[in-house]
Amino acid sequence: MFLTFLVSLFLFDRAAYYLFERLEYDFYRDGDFKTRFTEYARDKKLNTLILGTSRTFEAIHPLYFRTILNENAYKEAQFGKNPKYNYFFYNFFKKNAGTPEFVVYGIDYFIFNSRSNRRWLARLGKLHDPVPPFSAPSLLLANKQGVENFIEAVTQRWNKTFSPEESKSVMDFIDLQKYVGTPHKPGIVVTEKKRNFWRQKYPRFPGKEGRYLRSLLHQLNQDGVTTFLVLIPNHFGTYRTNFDRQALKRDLFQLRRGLKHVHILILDTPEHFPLDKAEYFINGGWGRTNCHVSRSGARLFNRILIDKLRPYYRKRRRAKARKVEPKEGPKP
Amino acid sequence: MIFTSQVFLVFFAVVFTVHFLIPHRFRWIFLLAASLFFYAYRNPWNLALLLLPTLAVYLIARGLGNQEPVRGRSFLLALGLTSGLSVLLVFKYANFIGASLFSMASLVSESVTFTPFNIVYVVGVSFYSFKLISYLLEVYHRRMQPEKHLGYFALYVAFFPQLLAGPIDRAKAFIAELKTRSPFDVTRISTGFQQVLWGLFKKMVIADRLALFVNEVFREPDGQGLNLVFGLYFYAFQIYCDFSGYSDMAVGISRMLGYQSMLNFNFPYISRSLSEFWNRWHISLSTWLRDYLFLPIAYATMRRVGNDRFLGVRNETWAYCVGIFITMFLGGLWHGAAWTFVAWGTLHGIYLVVGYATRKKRKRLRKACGLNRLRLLRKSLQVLITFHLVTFAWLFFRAESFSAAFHYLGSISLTYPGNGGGNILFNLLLLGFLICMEILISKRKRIRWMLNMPPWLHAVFTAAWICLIILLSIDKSNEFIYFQF
Repeated sequence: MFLTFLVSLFLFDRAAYYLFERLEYDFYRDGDFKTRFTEYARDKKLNTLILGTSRTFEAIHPLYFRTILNENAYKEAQFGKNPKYNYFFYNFFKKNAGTPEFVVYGIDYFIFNSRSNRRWLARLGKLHDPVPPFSAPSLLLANKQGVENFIEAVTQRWNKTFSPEESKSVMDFIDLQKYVGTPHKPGIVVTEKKRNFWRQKYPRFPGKEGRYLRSLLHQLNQDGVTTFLVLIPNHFGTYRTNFDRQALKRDLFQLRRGLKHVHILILDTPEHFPLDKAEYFINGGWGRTNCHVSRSGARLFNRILIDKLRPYYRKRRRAKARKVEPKEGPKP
Repeated sequence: MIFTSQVFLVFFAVVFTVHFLIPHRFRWIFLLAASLFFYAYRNPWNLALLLLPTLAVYLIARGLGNQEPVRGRSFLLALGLTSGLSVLLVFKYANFIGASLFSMASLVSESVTFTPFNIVYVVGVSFYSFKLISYLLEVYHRRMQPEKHLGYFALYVAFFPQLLAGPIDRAKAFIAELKTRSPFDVTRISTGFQQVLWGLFKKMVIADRLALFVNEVFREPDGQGLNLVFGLYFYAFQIYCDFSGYSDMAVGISRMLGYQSMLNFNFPYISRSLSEFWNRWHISLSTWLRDYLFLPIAYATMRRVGNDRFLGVRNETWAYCVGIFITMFLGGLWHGAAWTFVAWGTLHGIYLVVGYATRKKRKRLRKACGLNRLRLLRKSLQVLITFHLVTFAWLFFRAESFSAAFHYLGSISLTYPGNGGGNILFNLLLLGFLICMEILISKRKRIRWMLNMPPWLHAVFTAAWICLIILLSIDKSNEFIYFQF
C-alpha cells in the first residue's frame, strides 16, 4: 500500500505539474502583445532599449533620456526579466521596431541566479527551459512560486473582468515608459550596521541563464549595437551583505572580452553615487540582499548615467550626419 | 514549531518512526522528551513555565488524594488552582489587568498612566493551564485517582500534538490510553494521516487564502462597501478552517501515534441554534467550560435562589442565565486579554440567554407561521440565522478595538467598490469546494463505495490529495490564529 502511495504521489505530482505548465503557458500567452507593441513603436523611433530586472525598473527611466538627451528609449526592465527573456525580447524588438542603436542593460548581483518569469516568456511565445521529471522530489513543490504567481494572475484577470477601473491599475508595457520610481519611505533602509548580518555569496556565471547573456552580447556586438552593462548602485550596507562584487565584475569583463561594442559602466561606487544616503533607496541596507533606488535616487542616477552615455550618443549622431551628408549632393 | 512547517515534518517523521521502534514501556520517555523539545524549540525558557506548574499540580493532586478533612482539601485545591493559573494570569493577563485598572483610575486623576510590563507571551499557556485545572478538579471531586507516575502526568500536560492549541483532553481517558499498548495499526495510521491532510487543506488552502482578503479589508475598511460584508463572511470561514484545521492535524497526529484525542469541531456552521453551535464549536473548551464553570455556577445560583421563584422568574432560569452569562464572559476573556474578546463572549452570552428566554415564544411563532410543516425551510432558516448571529459576533473577535469594529460596521454598504471581485470569486469557489467536501465527510459512513474502497485506492486518493494541497496552498503559511490564545 505504501508503495502504491509513493508511486501515485510521483505520478500525480508530475502529471499535475506538466498540466499546470501547459495551462499556465496558454493563460499567459498574450496574442495581443505583438500588435499593440508594433503599434506603439511605429512612429516613436526608439533607438535605445533598456533591459534588466526590478533594480533597473526602479533605477533607469526613459523620461530622462527624452528630457536630457532628447532620445527615445524603450524600457523593458521588470521583475523576472532575466537574460533568457532579454535575449528573446531583443530579437522581438529588432523584428518589430527595428534594431536599436543602444542597449542599456542593468546588471545586478543575482543576474546569474534567477530564471526568467514564465509569464514574460509566454508573452513572447517562448517556453521556459523544460523541467526534467527527476529534477526534484516534487516538481509542484519545487515550482511553488510559479504556481502562486499563476493564481495571483488569474485572480487579477478576474478582477479586471469585474471592474474596468481596476484593469487600468495593472502596469502595462506602456505604463512602464512613464514610470519614474517609488518614493523613499523613512526607516525602511537598514542604516545601522547589524552585529551579525548575513552575507550573500555571489552566484557565478553561467548560473541559470548566463549563457543567454553571452549569446545576447555576441548578437548585439554583431548587430553593431552599442551596449552598456550598467552596475546599478545599492546602499553600502547591502554591498557588505552582497560582499563579492569583484567576482561579478570579473565575470562581466570576461564576458565582454573581444566585443568592441560592449562597454561596462561601473556606477556603483561611492565615487559615482552617494551609497550612504538612505533616501536614495527604497529598501536595502545591512543584512538586506535586495536594494532598489528610490525616485530621488533614480533622478540623480539617471543624470550620472546619461552624463556617461552622452559622448557615445554624440559620436553616433556625428557618424549618422556624416553618412547623411553625401546624399545632399556633391560639394562644390 | 508549527505543524505546517518543514521542520515539523522532519521532527514528526523521526518521532513516528522511533515511537514504533522502541518497546512500549519506554515510549512515554521518548514522547515526553520529544514534546519538551517541541515546546522548547522556539524559546527554551518556556519549558520552565510549563514544567513548574505541572510539578506543583502533580504534588498537590497527590496530596488531595491522601487528604481526608474537607478544610485541608479546599486549601490544597486553592493552592493547586493558584499554581495552575499563575503562569496564565501573569503572562497573559498582567498587562490587561494593569491597563484596565489604570484606565479606571485615570477617570479620577488624569496624571495616572500605565507602562506595560515587558512580558513575552507564552504560547499554549491557556491550553495547558486548563488541562492542569481540569485534572485538579477531577481529583478534588474524586472522579479520578491522582496519577502516581509523574512521567505519564507530564506527558498528558505536554503531549506535543495538543500542547499549543488543544484539544483540551481529559486526564483520565488520556492517561489510560498512555498505559495501554498501542500496536502498529495500518488502518488507524492511515485514517490519522488522512485527517492530518484534511486539516492541512483547511489551514493552508482555505484559511490562509481567505486571510489575504480578510486582512486587506480589516486593515482599510474605508470605501470597501460590499467587500466588508464578504470580509466578514470570509473571516467566519477563515477562523473555522484555521482552528478546526489545527485540531484535525492534532487529532490525526495523536491517532497516528496510537492515541485517541477528543473531537473538537463537528460542522459548527450547520447549527440551528446558538446552544447547538457551542456543542459543535471547540468542543473540548465548551465541555470544559460547562463542567468546571457553568455547572458549578448554575448549582450555586440555584442554591442561593432557593427552590422557588425569584422576582417572578423560575430558579432554573436564573441558574441558566447567570451561569451562561458568567461562563461566556470568562470564555471570551480566555480567548484574549482584550475587551473586544470579552464583548465577543458577552454577545454570545446574550444570544444564549435571549434564546433560552424566548424559546417558547419562538416555538409558538413557528407554529403560527406554519413553519413546522415546512421542515427543510425551517431548518434552513434556523441555520442561516444562527450563522449570521455568529458571524456578526466574529467582528468583535477580529477587530483590534471597539472603535475599529464600529468603524468597520459603519463602512459597510451594498455598493461594489470596483475592486476585489476576482478575489471574492476565487474565495467563493474555494468555499464551495470546502462545503462539498464537508458534506461528503459528514455522509461518508452512508456512502457505500467510500466504505468499501480498497486500501490501494485509498493510497491513490491520498496521493492526489497531497498534490492538490501543494498546488493550492499558499506559499508562505500564516501562524494559527488560536496560538495567540
